[in-house]
Amino acid sequence: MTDLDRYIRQTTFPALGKEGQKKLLASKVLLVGCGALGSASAVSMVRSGIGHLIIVDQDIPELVNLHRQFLYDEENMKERIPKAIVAADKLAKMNSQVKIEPVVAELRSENIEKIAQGVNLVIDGTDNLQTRYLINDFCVKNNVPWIYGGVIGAFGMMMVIIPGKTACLRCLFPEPPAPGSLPSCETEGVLNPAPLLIAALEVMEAIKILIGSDKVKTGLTNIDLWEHTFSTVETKRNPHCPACGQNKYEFLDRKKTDWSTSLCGRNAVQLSPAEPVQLDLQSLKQRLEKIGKVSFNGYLLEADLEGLKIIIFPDGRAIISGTTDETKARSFYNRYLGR
Amino acid sequence: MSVAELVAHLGLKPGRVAVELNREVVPRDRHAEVRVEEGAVLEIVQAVGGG
Repeated sequence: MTDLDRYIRQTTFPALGKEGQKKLLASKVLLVGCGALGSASAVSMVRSGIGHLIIVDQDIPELVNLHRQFLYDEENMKERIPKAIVAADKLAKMNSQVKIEPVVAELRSENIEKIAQGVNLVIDGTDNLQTRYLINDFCVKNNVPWIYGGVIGAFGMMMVIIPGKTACLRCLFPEPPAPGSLPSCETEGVLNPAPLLIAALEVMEAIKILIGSDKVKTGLTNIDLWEHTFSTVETKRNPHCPACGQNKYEFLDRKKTDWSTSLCGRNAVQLSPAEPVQLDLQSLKQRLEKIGKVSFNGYLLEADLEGLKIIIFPDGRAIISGTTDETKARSFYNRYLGR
Repeated sequence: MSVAELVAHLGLKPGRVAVELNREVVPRDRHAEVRVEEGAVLEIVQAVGGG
């Protein structure tokens, strides 16, 4: 069968074989986020012959992405073409047997059911935890396996989630972190071997899941590449887990992702959390000071970052000036406030 | 001391961290009953969000 010729160096691996390869070619996978993790996992999945890949991403390649987001180059950065489109074009040249479907959008509770319809697996390449809680809700509810991957600095985590069998994200971390409490790649930096390695682990487990292997590695894998330490700890399902224990899908039902977004005045976007939060602006100031000009007057924090000006209030409300693009403003907010 | 008491003692929000005791994650609803014995290997992890 000529369709399989190009994969002979992997079908020769006995645990995969031609039967496994056929299963990969018949699989449909959703990749959420195509930055550093996503670039690496997309290339790996497309070259491996995972038959149908949907790539969701809302961003445009930028200069500060290029050190780690391997699908993009200087030309793409100047062209201002969305990452999902650039990625799909490049990936199509790597393997024309794979159907690649770019979606330029922010994955939200309103569109996830449509975008993820019929997928066999979801791979995590996002840059925020809010989206991961949404993915977790969708996957648990619809019995779709997904693979969590996250990185920061030279550190990364990976966990396979098979609804009904393994712990889910909320079994381990029932609540998402408070806004502003979580370090991000913007404030702590990231070295590209970390996302490369985590993406490689994600794809390896994806292949095992898609071919029905019994070798799928469960548990939470933690890797610190700077210290060169690797560990996987066992995880157990929490019978009281809001998602997989009690079937409460708060993120999918928008109870916790509902951000009221309104344009205020000229060239500015205002974002407010649906639920009131209490931000520690002093510690946020200390983190943001590493990367931009920040001032805090005791009532509100103002920062100049990436050519945008953001004003943050203690209740989580923010005004972002320098753009009228709500999606861009929300992405900016998520990155710097760690949502 | 229980896992829950330790998490509170460290000033951490219970729902937002996972506690690994002797290389196994302690389920959240068992934090109050599971004791941290002397010599236990303990790690407290927070989900990482970058990608």
